[in-house]
Amino acid sequence: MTALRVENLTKRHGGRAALDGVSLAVEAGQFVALVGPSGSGKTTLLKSINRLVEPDAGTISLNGRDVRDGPVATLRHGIGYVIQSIGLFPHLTIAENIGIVPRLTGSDEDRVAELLELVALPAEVATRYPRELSGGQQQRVGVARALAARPRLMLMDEPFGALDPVTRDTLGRAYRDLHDTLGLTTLMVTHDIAEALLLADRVVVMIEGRIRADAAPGALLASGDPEVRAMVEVPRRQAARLAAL
Amino acid sequence: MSPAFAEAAAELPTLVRAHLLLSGSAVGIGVLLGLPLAILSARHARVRTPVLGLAGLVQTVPALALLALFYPALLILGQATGLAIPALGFLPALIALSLYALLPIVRNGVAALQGIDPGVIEAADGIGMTARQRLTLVELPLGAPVILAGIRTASVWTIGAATLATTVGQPSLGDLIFSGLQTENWVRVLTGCAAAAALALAVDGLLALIEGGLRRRSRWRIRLGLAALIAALGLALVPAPRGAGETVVIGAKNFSEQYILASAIERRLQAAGYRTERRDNLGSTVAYQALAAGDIDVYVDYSGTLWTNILRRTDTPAPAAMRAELAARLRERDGVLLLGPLGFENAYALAMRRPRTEALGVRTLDDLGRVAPRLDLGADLEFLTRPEWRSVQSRYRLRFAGQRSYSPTFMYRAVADGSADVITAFSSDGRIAALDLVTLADPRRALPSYDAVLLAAPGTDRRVIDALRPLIGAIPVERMRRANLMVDRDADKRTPAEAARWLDPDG
Repeated sequence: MTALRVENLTKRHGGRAALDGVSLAVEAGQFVALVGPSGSGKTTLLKSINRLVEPDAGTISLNGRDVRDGPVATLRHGIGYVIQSIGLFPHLTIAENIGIVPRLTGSDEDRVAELLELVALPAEVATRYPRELSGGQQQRVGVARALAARPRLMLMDEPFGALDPVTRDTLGRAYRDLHDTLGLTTLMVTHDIAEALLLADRVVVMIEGRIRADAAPGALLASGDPEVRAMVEVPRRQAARLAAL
Repeated sequence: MSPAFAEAAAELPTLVRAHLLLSGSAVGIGVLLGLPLAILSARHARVRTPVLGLAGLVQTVPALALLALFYPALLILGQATGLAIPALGFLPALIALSLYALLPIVRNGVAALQGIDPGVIEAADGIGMTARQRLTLVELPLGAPVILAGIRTASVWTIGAATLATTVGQPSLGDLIFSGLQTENWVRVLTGCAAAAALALAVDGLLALIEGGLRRRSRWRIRLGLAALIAALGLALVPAPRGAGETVVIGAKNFSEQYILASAIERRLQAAGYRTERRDNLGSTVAYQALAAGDIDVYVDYSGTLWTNILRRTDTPAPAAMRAELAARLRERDGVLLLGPLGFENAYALAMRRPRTEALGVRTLDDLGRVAPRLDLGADLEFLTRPEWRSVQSRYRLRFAGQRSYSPTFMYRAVADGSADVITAFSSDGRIAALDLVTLADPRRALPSYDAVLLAAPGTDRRVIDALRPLIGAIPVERMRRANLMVDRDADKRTPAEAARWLDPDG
C-alpha cells in the first residue's frame, strides 16, 4: 500500500527552484533516506509533507488523502517529527515533553513510562528537565515525543546529526529497530551517506531540486550517474582505507 | 520631631496610596496594551517598526511635558465630544504614565519572543501546536523572565515619573517634592524623594522575586511576590478613612503665598465641617481652566492675571473697576464666581538691589529702558510668555542683554548673588524687604493691578461661599508679606500651614 505519494512538487525560493517537479511514492513500512548536498531540496521536500513549507505546485497525499484537506494541526498530530536541534521544551519535564501531543489532542492516555522504555531511557528521567540530560538522551526523548501520538509516518530531519559518532551509531540502529517493531514508515533526511546506506531500505538522492537516483542501497553503489557515484563512493573508499590500516 | 517633618509624615499615607494606585494602574495598562503589541511586533516586522519607533518617540518627550500635554488634549476632547471628561487629575496622569510604561514592556516583550531558540519553535510547529497553543504553552512561559524584566523597568520608571503627576493636579509623592522645592523646605523634599525611592525599590524587589521564581521555576517565590503586590494595590484601593461631610477641592499655584492661602482656605472649610483636598502646583492657565471645568472648587488668583491671560485685555483700568468687570465677564463666560478681594495686591514688579539702582540711577521703568542693554533679566517661569511682558517691553522699549527664567525661589537667589540684575518680583513677597530690593515705578501703567481674589467654581454651594466670606478683605499686604517671609526665609523657617495659622488665627 502506498503510504505517501508526492506528485510534481515545485517550490521556488526567489528565482531558484528548491524543488523542481519532484514525484515520489513510499510504501507503508519503508525506511527511506533522503540524501544530497546542502540546498538540494531534501529538507524542503520533508517539510512540505507536514506543511511547514507550502509548495508552489504539486500535491502530497498520505494514505490517499491530500495533506491540505483538514486542519494543519490535526495533520501534524498524526506525523512524528524529529529534528537535528531536537527542540525539547526547556521549561517542561521529560514526562511533560513526551506527553505534549496527547495533551494537545485531548487524549488522557499516559504512555510516558512505556515510551521511555521503548527508547531505552530509565524511568526516573521522567521528572527531570531537558538540560539535565546528555545530547543522546535528549534525542531519545525527541523520538519518544514524536511517537507519543502513535503516528504511522515519521519525518526525521538530520535526527542524529548533532551527536557524537558513537551515540549516533547506537541511536541510528536503535531507531531502525523501533521502525521495524512498530511497523512505521520513515522518511529521514541525512547528509551522511554511510548512515543512509546502512539504515535505509531505499535511498533517494536529490541534486538541485530533482531526484537523481532512487534505489536500494546495494543498487545505488552501481549507479551509472557520475555525481551519484561520486557521493556513494566516499564511504566505500573510507571503509577500504580503514580496513587497510 | 520638627513640625515640617510631622506635617509631611501626616500627608504620607494618603500620598503613598495615591502614588501607588496611579503607578500601579499605569503599569497595568502598559502591560495589557504592551504585551499584545509585543506579540504582534514579534510576528510581523511591519507592525514592529512603527510600534517600537512610536514607543521610543514617546520616551524622548520629557515626562513633565507629556503630562502637561494631556491636560489641553483632554480639555479639547471633552469640548468636542460634549462628554464630561476630567482633564485634570487622575486621567491625564494615567494616560501619560501608561504611554511612558509602554516602551520597556514592548521592547522586552519583542526581545523575549524573538530570543527563543528557533529549534524549539520549529518543534512546537512540527508537533502540531496552533499559533495560540505555541504562544501560551511555549513562547510566553519561556519569554516570561525577559518580559518581566521589562515590567520591572517600567515599574521603576513609572513610580519615579508619577511624582510629576502633581503638576496636572493628581496627588502623588511629588506634592511633597514640588511644594518643598518652592518653599525650600528640604525636609519635605527629602521625605517625598525617600518615599518614592522606597516604593520603587520595594516594587522592584517584589518583581525581582517573581522573576527569580520564573527563572528557577520556584512556585513559592512567584506566589509570595504576587501576593505582596496584590496586597499593596489592595491597600491603595481602600479609600482613605472618610470623615463626615462633602469634599471641597482647593487649588494652588506653585509658590509659597498660594500654599499659605490654600491652607487658610482649608482651615476655614474644615472648621465649617467640610473635608478638603488639595491640588497644588498648578500652572496659571491650568488653575483657571480647572476651576471653570469644576475639577477644583476654589482657589486664589490675581485680577491682573485673569484680566490679561483669560480676558486677553491690554488696557489697565483702576483696581475696583477691573474687579467689577472681571466678576461680570468671568461669570458670563464660564460661570466662575469671583467672591471678592482678599485685601492685598501681589503685582508683578521689576525689582533690583538697592545698591545697583543707586549706582545706575534707576528709579522707574523709563530709567531702566536706558540701561537695560547692559543688564540681565531674571524672570519667573511664566512672565516672559505673558501679555504683561509684551506690554512692558513695548511701552518702555526694554531690551536686556540676557534673559532667563527661574522658579520663584531661584529667581530671588539669582538677584541676590548677582546672576540677574533685574527680576520680576512679586509685590507681596517678603523677600523684597529681606533682600533690600527696590521695585521700579511704572509711570506708563504697563502693568495692571493684581488684587488677590477668591474664585469659586460654577455652582459652588452657598454654604462653602459663606464659610470663606470672612477671608474677603481680611488680609492686608503687610500681613501677607510677613506670612510669605516666614515660609521663604532661610532661618527659623515655617511651613505654609503654620504661616496660615498665623495669618488667619480665627480659621
